[in-house]
Amino acid sequence: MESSRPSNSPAPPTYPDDDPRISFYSANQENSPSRPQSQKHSTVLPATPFPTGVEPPSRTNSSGSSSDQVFLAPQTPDPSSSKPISQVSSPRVPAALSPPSLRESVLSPSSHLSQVVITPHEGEDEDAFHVRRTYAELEAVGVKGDGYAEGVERTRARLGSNRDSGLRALEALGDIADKKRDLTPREIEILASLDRYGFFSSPSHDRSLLLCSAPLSKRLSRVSTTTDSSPTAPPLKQQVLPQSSEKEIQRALKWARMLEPIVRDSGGNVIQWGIKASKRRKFRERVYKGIPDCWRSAAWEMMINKMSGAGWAEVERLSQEYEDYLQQPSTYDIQIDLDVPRTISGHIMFRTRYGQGQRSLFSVLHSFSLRCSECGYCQGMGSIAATLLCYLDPKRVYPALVHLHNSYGMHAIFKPGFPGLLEAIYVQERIIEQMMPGVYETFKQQMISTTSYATKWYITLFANSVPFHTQLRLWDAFFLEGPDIFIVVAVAIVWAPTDYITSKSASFETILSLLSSFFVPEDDNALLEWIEKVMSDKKARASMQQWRANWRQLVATGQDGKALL
Amino acid sequence: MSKQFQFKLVLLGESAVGKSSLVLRFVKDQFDDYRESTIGAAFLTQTVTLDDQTTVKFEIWDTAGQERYKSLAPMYYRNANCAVVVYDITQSASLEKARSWVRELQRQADPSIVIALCGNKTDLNARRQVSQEEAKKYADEEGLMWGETSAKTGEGVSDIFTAIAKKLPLTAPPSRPGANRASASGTQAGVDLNRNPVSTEQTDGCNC
Repeated sequence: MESSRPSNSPAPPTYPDDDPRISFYSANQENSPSRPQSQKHSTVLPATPFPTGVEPPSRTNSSGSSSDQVFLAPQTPDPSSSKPISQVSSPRVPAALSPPSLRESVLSPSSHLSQVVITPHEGEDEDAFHVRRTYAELEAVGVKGDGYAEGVERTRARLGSNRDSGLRALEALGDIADKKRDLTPREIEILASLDRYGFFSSPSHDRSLLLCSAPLSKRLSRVSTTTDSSPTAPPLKQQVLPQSSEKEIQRALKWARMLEPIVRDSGGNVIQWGIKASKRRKFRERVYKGIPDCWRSAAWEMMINKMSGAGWAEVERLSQEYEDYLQQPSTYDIQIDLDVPRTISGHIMFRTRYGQGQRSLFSVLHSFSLRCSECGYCQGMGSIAATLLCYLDPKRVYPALVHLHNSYGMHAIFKPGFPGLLEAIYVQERIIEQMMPGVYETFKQQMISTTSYATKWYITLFANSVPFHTQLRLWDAFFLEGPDIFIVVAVAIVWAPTDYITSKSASFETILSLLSSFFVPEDDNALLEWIEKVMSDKKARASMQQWRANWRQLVATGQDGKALL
Repeated sequence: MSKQFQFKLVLLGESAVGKSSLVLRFVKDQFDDYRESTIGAAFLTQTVTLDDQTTVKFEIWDTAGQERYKSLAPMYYRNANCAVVVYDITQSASLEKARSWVRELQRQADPSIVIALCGNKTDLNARRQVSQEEAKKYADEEGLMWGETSAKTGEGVSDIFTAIAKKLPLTAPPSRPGANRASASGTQAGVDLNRNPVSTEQTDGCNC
């Protein structure tokens, strides 16, 4: 099994990766940057996914054979992650997956299911073990209709012991027939309805607010006027959709000329990219213009590794650490399991209960929760990991999360008390005080504390606060510049509707509702250009550093309690 | 002549018991099977009409359930007039968590706060772990309002908010605890919403 996938996949280049473990990042991309999806499938899987002498389940051989199922997450056991925990022995239904009443009756010898042996650690909570075991076992057998079906809940509510629910659960396990069959018209319809990033539909938001481009054409500077008119909140009109694919293809070609392979794996696939010396000065500008989606995974990893000073060896070491942690129990497993099914569940990869995406998300969050004893698992990490999983395989998402934790200030954001959040908010307030004194005064009068609306911005890095395409653009800049970027985004969100906030008709309720909105930029480019101007303003950046230092001083001297709005 | 009263309401309870879903049902009469977890807190408003003359507007703070976010909770329940402490009837551990929230509110929140204990997910009655008797008994002992709801079907949702609205002291003068908007001092800024409940009297009902 050199290649588990055909290379003539019909997937359009901008569709989401169907299997996060097979990242197109590592493919031979440089020659065909505009068709990365067809390249990604050439990723080499380890030749021996099962212990020698044990016959792999037959579906292993069929998983890649039907190119029309490119969106079905493959149910091939992940050799790398299941190897240490699973002992493939006689074909049986895994213990956690079959209810007691059925356990014996359905264990026919002809069952194709492999048995995963996973044992509880000493002192591991029974329910937590049930969660960990269920994900591990399903990693080996897969679930049916992954991407389409809702799936069957097995952990949040344990399967009932009655025969019907047990049969339903067994029905939902992956099998060969499901892999071999053609897509139904309904499934084809579902695929056709996805947006370019893999979302079925945008999640419903209580309030959406258009971030108008007009104010963003004006550079951040001190505005002292308070409008006496009473403007109403801007209506949500049609936003400018992300750039046309024609333009993106042109950009992708430029990126192909700008980047060069640095490290290849044993099969010759590029696993790390660098910037050609002659193109270095173009890089920043091109990141702000938006990384072509087919280059995003390569560029993100490249920028993250640069910021953290990590070489390829470090990434490999962390990938191994990820695998090792999968064998250990985490006290956060139950909480993670509660959050996994409700994290970007409108995305095809994360929709099916215990499907490929949910299993990857669980695994990454589980291992990451063991990484830092102070941070553990914090709600909000899920949206970040899920976004990364859209672009990187789990073994690469974990190192990326570690680098975000260590080098992008996320440790201080997640750890108890959220000290990094409060620091960011302090800096945000100083900028608003300096540049928009009218707004600052309004916040003060209305007693609108910044924490009450900006907390989720900093903890989820704007996931679920802006459209996915906007979030990606912000993250492009974040990976390049570091955590200051999100303070500037926060300021931009306050900057755009300044007139509304300072108008006489605005109240506590209307302002807070406005700032709690889902923000839809009229034009992503206008927002990114505004942010870029602030980020390249040396004076502004120096002030931000100074304010960060001031905040730390306030904390050190116990004066932080009254320093925020 | 109609009266509109405004109150600050906070939702507390363990993760995934359905706090945000209750609010979504109450405010928009909708339900999502998989609602993203709340980070920090979410702010919403909804008005309950008690009779021709009286409406109660709730300023709702829906909080995050994970223990990590507990450090932010005081800023949301401080000066709250009412709290809905939610548990999941299919998870007995969530009632324990609810008890600890009630204790914290009794110690830290405004003494006049109206607390309602709410058992959610009655649509999953087949998997019930918390009996009505047990919850009711506890609520009675602590002097809490109590009710069961299903955010999924809508059962009991408006009832509990309406019951709270009726229980709030609508005859109270505007100077309710914390209603003095200028009294920002003496509270911890930064973790302080310090929003004051305002009981406003409006002449006539048209405020559109």
